[in-house]
Amino acid sequence: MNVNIKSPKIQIILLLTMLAIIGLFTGDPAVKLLVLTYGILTAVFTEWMLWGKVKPQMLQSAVITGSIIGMLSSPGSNLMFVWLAAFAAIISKRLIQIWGSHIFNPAAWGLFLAGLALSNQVNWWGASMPPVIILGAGIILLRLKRLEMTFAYIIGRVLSAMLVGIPFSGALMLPNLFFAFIMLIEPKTSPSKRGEQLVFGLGCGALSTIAANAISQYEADLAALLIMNLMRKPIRMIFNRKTISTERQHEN
Amino acid sequence: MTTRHDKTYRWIGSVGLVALLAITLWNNYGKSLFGHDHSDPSHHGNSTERRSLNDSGFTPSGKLMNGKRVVDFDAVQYRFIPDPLVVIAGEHIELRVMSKDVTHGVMIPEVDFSTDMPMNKRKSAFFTAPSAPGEYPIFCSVFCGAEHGDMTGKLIVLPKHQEGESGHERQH
Repeated sequence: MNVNIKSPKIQIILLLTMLAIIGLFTGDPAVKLLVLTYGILTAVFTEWMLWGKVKPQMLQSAVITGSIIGMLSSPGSNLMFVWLAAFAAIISKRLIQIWGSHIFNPAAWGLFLAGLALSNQVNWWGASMPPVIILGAGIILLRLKRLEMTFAYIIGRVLSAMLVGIPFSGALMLPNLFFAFIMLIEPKTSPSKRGEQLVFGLGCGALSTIAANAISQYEADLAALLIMNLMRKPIRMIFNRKTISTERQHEN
Repeated sequence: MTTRHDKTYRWIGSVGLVALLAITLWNNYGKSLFGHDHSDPSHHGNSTERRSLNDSGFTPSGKLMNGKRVVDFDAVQYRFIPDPLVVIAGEHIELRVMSKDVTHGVMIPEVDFSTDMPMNKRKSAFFTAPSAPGEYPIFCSVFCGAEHGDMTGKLIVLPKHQEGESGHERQH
């Protein structure tokens, strides 16, 4: 298989691998490795079951989804949770489609659904090295022109947390960098234009604060992302309408 | 068009998925993957912890009230208080959870227990302690900051015969 190191997907896989290796150093490595392997295998097998032989890019997507699920599921969690999350994530790509592509971030969808069915077992053990996330994912996002969305989420999360009474120092710690740099920016389920990205990111940050206070047992960031995934098209429609009306004003 | 290659991959995918599911069910309802033997109280801990458990070095947390153990269980970035949370095998637990800074969550996968810990407000949540003595991990289940992934604690389950041995144990 031809592996192109310049491909963003390969770079994300390398980054996830690095984060997983770092995460394995704390706690029980065997249990973490089991959860991670389970996530990846279930995602890849589901991909093959649904589509047969797939393009390398699709397989890479499955590996990314499975890795994220494995790195977010708490070590020692019920393996059924990991299996269900990875299975539902890949299935959602085919079954939950509107506007020509899947709507929900697959990993967020799978984990949220598994959390509803079997109680939340997410603990983000793979997100334990913020400098690596910022540096590694930052470079990738700079190339993909999606860094604005990440910053908008961080600003939205901090400001909205302060609005509900959390002091600045505490609020500053709340943005989930793994989520912001790796999950939020998934190209197929988030906007590509700068203005839309800012609204998407800010909205996700604000919704995350609301969800953290209202339904925190169900992973606030994931719930916020799923809602914003649904809002992607309406946001685009609003921006398109604005663009059209501005162009008409210029013509007049 | 479905090729022979496609069929092979679909077959591998289907068999693989079923196999993983079977392993999961076996792990949940049969023998554990890592050979967890709950008759050995140390299977979640090291030899020092094994000695402490057997020697009853731990005192159960909280108080017994109306047949259940009531424990005030707090969280701050990035630890739980008390840690370890010490209970007796099989007893009903009421955790009166509260966070002292940002919203946290407490999750004990072994007993399928998960709840959020609201800020500066105590909330009661209930679970039944594992019937097998041992040491079990506790995780924070709500993203609470950069070191959230490392926010862990321990649930220590003492054998039933240690109930009442502690001088602090009183029925209220």
